[in-house]
Amino acid sequence: MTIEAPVVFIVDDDERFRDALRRLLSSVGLAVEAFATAQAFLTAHRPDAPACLVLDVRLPGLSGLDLQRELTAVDVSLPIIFLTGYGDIPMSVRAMKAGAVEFLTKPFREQDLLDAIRHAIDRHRVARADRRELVELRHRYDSLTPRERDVLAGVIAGLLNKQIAADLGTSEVTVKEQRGHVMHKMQAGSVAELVRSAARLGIDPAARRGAAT
Amino acid sequence: MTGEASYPTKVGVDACHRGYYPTGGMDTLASGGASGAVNRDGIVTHRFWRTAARCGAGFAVLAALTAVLYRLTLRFALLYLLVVVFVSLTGDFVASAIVSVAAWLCLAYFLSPQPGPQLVLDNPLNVVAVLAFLATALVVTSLVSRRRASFQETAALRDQLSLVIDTIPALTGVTLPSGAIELVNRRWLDYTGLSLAEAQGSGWRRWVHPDDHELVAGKSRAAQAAGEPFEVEVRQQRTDGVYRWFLLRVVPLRNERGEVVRWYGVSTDIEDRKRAEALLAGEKRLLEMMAGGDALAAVLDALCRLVEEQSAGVLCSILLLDAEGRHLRHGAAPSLPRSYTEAIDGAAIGPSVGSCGTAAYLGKPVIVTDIATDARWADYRELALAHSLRACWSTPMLSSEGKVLGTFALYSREPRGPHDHEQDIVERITPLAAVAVERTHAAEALRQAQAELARVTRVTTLGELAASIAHEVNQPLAAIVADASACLQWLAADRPDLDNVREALTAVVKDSERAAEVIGRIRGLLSRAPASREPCDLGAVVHEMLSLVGPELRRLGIAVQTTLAPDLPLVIGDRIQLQQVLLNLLMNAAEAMRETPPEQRRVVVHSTVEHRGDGAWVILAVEDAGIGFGELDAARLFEAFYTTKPNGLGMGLFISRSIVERHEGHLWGTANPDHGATFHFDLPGMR
Repeated sequence: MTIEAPVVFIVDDDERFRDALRRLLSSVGLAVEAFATAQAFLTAHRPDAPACLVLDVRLPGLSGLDLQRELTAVDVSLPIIFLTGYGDIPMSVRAMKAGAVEFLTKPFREQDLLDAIRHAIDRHRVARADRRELVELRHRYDSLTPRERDVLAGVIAGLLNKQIAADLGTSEVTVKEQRGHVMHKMQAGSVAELVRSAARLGIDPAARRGAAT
Repeated sequence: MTGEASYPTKVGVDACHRGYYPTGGMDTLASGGASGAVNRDGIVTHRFWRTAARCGAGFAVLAALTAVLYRLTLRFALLYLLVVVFVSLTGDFVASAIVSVAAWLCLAYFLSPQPGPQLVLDNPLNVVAVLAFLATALVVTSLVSRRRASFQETAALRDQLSLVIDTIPALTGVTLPSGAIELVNRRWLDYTGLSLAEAQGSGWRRWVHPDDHELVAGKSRAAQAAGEPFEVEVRQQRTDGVYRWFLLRVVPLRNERGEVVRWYGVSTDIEDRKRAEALLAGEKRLLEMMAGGDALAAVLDALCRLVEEQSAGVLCSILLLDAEGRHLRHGAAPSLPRSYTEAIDGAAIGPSVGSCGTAAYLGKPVIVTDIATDARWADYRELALAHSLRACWSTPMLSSEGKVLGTFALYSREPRGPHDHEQDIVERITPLAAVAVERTHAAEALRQAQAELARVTRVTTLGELAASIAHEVNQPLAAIVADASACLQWLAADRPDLDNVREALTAVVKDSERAAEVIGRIRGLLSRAPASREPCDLGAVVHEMLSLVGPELRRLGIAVQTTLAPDLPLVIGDRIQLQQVLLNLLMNAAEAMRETPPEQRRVVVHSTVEHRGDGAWVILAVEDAGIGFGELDAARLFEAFYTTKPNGLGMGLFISRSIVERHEGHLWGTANPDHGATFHFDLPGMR
């Protein structure tokens, strides 16, 4: 997997500041896409890459906080760095609670912004990787037959093949064979790995067992 | 009368008109010549001649009778008459009776046809003759004594008239129609210092002020042509060279044929009245200046000039006590040498600091009659003497509370005290000067209070805008930081991209200017600078204030529109104050739309030009879509401390209106047809 070039989105209604920020980020080799309004940002086609959003709190029309809410609502996990011309604590608390990465007051030290951007992009990259992995796992899990899913539940619950067979009312040999299929399909090298994957998929072994008992 | 009139002085003619019209006997007017003259009483003169004529007729009858009785030759009869008349002239009845009888006896003795004493009254003719002699003598005596009494009366009257004419407080004279001056009174001679001979012809030009020549000549020509009385106010020169105002009134005297035979003139000294009038007019002018809000320096200067006009030879000086009450500062002294006024400017007051410093210190008038010797002038003596100032009379100007405001002083170049009229003027003018100073102080205090109030409300408004303003300043600062950092990054590269660096640095410069502009605008609004009057472009004022308030309006979701007329005429005024008016109106508009649905929030700023009778006017209107104002509000809208805002001071519209009115404009509000209100103000365009 190659490291994708990150993109920084800027939403600020002040054209001169937008341009200055674009120049600053370009100077450190970051790709920048700048928008004057929240609406323009929402309607624009955004490249699928690790990114972050540098957002002015005070915007005409939809404000920065409104945009943050909107993005959360559509489940876009874009890290947001808020900028403001006037530090106002309740507003920054709201923004941070809603998941903002950083809240910077203009004028800020450029290093603070760059650090925040790097941090945000890293976070986005990790999040994107996680998300991709999860999709993959889901995909693998979806390829299991219902019986294999039951076996998987038994395995991650820490049951022996014999116990699983008893639970499912089948033979131990069959369980063993199905377990092999599960391990293969889930691309798990060990039980521990399978347990981790299951955990990430949100499969509750206890529930499974509870249901079986 | 020929040529221009020459009326040195004229006799009071009304009396003549009432009592006596000369009927050809003009020679009875005594020509007193240069010694002063009296017009004899015409009535006495008239009786004298009538009596004389009767006496003559009586003597003629007696002479004829005597000649018949004694058959005398006419020669003897006349001799006899002469004797009787001579005796009668004594005026004594007894003597004249004795002498007349004796005369008869002598005549009878010497002239009798029969020589020898014949004192016998046997002949009835002799008795008649004696009686006739006696009666004649007595009649003549009686006539003579009456005549004598009449002469005495005339002489007394003449003396009295002469006294009156010389005594009446006026210069009088009589002029012949030819223009020759017939007589003038003693006062005239004393006043002008001229002789009657010197006054003849165009001599009048010697004592009439040159500026009045034309007026007098014109008036007298017109009067001559019409034969009408006339009067004129004229300055006449006194023997010491000083001109004084006189009211000259001249009336014609006509004979029975209606021809003008004399012009009688009387000149009354109206100098004091003129002076009082001028003083009053000057005071009125000064009060008008004060009421018109003229600068104190101009008022005091005019005041000094008025006093100097009123009192020849004095130099007026007004010094003002400074705020600490310790030093005297120059107020006005239009005629004192600048080098002198500069030298005394700022002198500390004290018990012995010239006239003014001492007067201000004591709060009492200080009259120094000779600077050269007065101890109080020790420190300033040389300075004053070097400027030929020898006397100085200073009076403190007191406020209504009795506080010393300054001094009002008169200088003289001769060592002397003030004349009465100078003292009067000082007493009248000093309070006026004090009023001018006090009024200026009050106006200044009021102006300062107004300016401070306006400033405080500006500060309050800016406080409301603080967040937006911080944003406005931080925005360019953030851009500058970003651009500068970018530059550093680019410069750190192995092959720096100078084009990028240049672009970023250009932006840095622009953003710095932008930040400085915002700061400058705020500093202007916060400044305590005194109000100025300079040409202002209201269009620019609109732009400046929208750039300041715009971010706040946008933050509140208010759409801002402007429709500015092109070629707005400039207005004269204080830019900051006009900015404040607009700022207030914009903030009010924003406040009014607090409850308005966001999509309807809008502010429209229009400007229009209106051509009225007195020139072009600029009208600026701020329209909002807010709650508007009800009828009650409309009436109270511009009152101080009236507000509909929860946190409002209620000063915005009050101050805005007073600012606009100080700029000779009006501020008013109208309700919009749909919703919201519009506030308008108009200002006269620069002429």
